[in-house]
Amino acid sequence: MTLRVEVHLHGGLLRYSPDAPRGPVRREYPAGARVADVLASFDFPAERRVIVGVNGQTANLDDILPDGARIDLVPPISGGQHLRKDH
Amino acid sequence: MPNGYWDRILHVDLGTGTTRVESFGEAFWRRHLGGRSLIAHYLLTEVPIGTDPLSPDNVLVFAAGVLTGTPFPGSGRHSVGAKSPMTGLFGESEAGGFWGAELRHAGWDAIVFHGRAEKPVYLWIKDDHVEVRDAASIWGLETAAVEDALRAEHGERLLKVAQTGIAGENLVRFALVVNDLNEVAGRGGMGAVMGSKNLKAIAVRGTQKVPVADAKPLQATAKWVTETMEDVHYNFHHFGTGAGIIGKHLEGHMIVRNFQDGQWDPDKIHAIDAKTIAETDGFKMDGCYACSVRCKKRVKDEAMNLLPKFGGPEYETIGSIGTNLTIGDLPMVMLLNQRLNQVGIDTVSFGGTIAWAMECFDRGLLTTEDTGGIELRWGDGATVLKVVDLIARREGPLGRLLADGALTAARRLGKKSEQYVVHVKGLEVAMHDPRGMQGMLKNYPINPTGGDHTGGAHLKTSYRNTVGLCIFLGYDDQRTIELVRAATGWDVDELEMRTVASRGLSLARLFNMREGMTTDADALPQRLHEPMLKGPLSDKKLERDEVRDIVQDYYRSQGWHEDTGAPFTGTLEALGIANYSDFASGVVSLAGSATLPPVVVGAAPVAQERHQE
Repeated sequence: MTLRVEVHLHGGLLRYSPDAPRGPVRREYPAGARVADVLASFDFPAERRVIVGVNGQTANLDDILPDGARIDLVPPISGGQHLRKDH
Repeated sequence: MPNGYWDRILHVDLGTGTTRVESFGEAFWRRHLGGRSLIAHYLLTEVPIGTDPLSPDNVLVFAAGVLTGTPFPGSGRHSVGAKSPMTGLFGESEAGGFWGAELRHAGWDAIVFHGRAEKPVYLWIKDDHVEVRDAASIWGLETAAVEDALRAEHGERLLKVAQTGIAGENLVRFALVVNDLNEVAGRGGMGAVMGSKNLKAIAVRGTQKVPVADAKPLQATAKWVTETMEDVHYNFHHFGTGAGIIGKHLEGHMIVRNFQDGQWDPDKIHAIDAKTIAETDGFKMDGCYACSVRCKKRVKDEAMNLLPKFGGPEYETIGSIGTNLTIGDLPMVMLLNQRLNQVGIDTVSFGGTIAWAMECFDRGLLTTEDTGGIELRWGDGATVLKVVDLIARREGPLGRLLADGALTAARRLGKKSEQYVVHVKGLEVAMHDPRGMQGMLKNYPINPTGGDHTGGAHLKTSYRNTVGLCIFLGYDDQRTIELVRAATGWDVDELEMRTVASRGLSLARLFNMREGMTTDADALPQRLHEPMLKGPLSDKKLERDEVRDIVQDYYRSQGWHEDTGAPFTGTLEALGIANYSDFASGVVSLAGSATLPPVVVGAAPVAQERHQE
C-alpha cells in the first residue's frame, strides 16, 4: 500500500519546495512510513529546525503517517522552548 | 552642513495658527537621533504633569530619525508620539510607507503640534513653505477622499498625507494616524490626539535629498539586500507578515477567543494566512520608501470593493480580527482590515476590545440590552463589520461603550468583567502570546507603551525606533552601526548604539513614573496567567513570580532601582540626561551608582546645546 500525503511548506521552508514558491507538494511514501521520512525527503539543511503538523496537530518524528494526511512543515516561532514535546 | 539631520524641527501652535523653527546643534542630535528619544524629549519638557491626553496641553510629535528618508531599504520609518489616551503614559507608534521620508525630503526632521485649533485645520508643507489651512471641506471625509482632495487642492500628485480618520475626529481612543492610506501609526491612540487638536491631516511634498556623510555604505546595503533577498528576506519578500501562522497553532500559542484557547481549526487558519492571501486574484506585494524587500500586501476584489490602495491584512490584523475573533472567512478579514483603515481605527485594539465584548456576551455579562440589540458571537464577521462604524462614530450604546477601549468599557460594565481584558497598562495586547514566546514575555510587562509588540522594551527595537529603521530588515548590529555612521559621519560604536536605546527607555520611564505609574503596572493581565484551554501549552501556567523576576532583571539591566523601577541619578548622569529629571521631580532614585550595569557605566554623555531660529 502507498500512502499519499499533501505537504505544505511554510515561511522560509518554502524555498526548499520543488514547486517553489507556493503550492502544496504531493508525495507518496510506502506503508508504515513515519514523519521522519517526510523530513528526510526534503533538502533542509541539517541545522534547520522544523515543526511538523499532521492534520493540524503537532507530531513527533516517529509517528506513523496516516494516509491522505495534510502535513505542515513550519519554522519554529517560539524557538520551541515552551513546547511540551520534543520535535 | 550637518549630515543625517537638517536640525530643523517645525513647531505648530494650532491655537494661533503660527509656526516656528527650532534647532539644537549636533550634540543634541547625537544624543537623541530622532524618533522615540525626540518624542520623549518633548513629552517631558512640553507636557505638564497630569495633562489629559485629549486636552490642548498634550503635544503631538511626528518624528523621523537620522536614517529616515536616506536611500536604502528599511529607512521609510517615522514615529508618532504623544501622551497616550489609551494608557495615560508615554505614547509612541511607528509607521512605514513614504510620508516620513517625504517629510525629510522637505527639509524637516520633526513636527511638534501644540494646543488645539478652534476649527478643523490641516498642515501643508512644500519644502520651506509651511501653512496651517482650513480643513472644513475634508473634515468628516474618509481617508481616500481626504488624500484625493488635498492632491487636487495643491496640484501635487506626489504629495504624501498623514491623517486621522473619522474615528479620530470622534475621539475614539484607539484611533490611529494613517499615512499613504495603508501605513499606520496604530497603537496608543495617536489619531485621537490628532482629532482632539482639530488637526485633520499633514500634507507634505519635499524635493530635497537628506544630506549624508557617505552614500556608499547605504548603496552597498541596498545592493546586499537585493543580492541576498532569497536568503535573508525570503519570507517577507514573498508573503509579508502572517505566513506560517499555523506554527503558532502547532506550538499552542495562537491567539484565539480573547487569548483563551491557544489553538483553532487548522483549516480556518490556513484560510486566512498570508500564503493563502498571496494566492488570491489581484494580489501583489508593494514596498515602502527605498525598500526592495516589498513586504506590504495589496489585495483586490472588485466585487467587494476591496482596493489595493488600502493595503492588505498584516499578521497583527489576521490575528486580531481573524483568529482572535474566530473569523475564518478571508474576504471578511480583508474587508474588515480595509474598513478599519478607512475610518482610522487600530486593528489590534479593536480586535482586543471586540474579543473582550464577545467573551462577556458569551458569559452573559454583556447582553442585548447593553448592546442595543446586537448579538456578539464568535466568528460573526458581518456583525463586527457593522460595529466598526458604530465605534468610529460613537453611535449607539455599543459604539459608545467600546470607543474608549476594552479596559474603560470593562470598568463601565462592572460585573468583574475587567478580569477578561487582555491589556498591559491599558493597551490591548498585540497578537504574540507571552505564554508561548519568551521574547514577548520579556517585552510586554516593561514596554513603556503597554501591550505593543514593537514598542521596544528590547534595546534593538528601541534603537531602531529611534533612528528610523524598520525592525524587519535583517541587518546585524555591525551593519546598523555602519548605516548610522554613513548617514551622520559620527564614529558611533556598539556601546553608543546601546546607550542611545537605553537613553530613550530611561526617558520614557521618567515620563511614565512622573505620571503616577508604579511598578504594579509592569505586569501581565490575569488571562495571561491562566493556562490555555487547548493544545500543548494547556498544562502550563505562567506564574506571577516569573514575570516579576523578569521585570526586576530588566530594571537592573537599565540602571533602575530593582524595587521601584526608578532610574538612579547615576544612570541619568551617565546617559547624559540628568537635566530631564527636572521635568520628573521626585522620580529618580538617589542610591549609589555602584550597581549600574556596564552599558550605563560606559555611556559617554554629550553636552547639550539649544537655540532657536
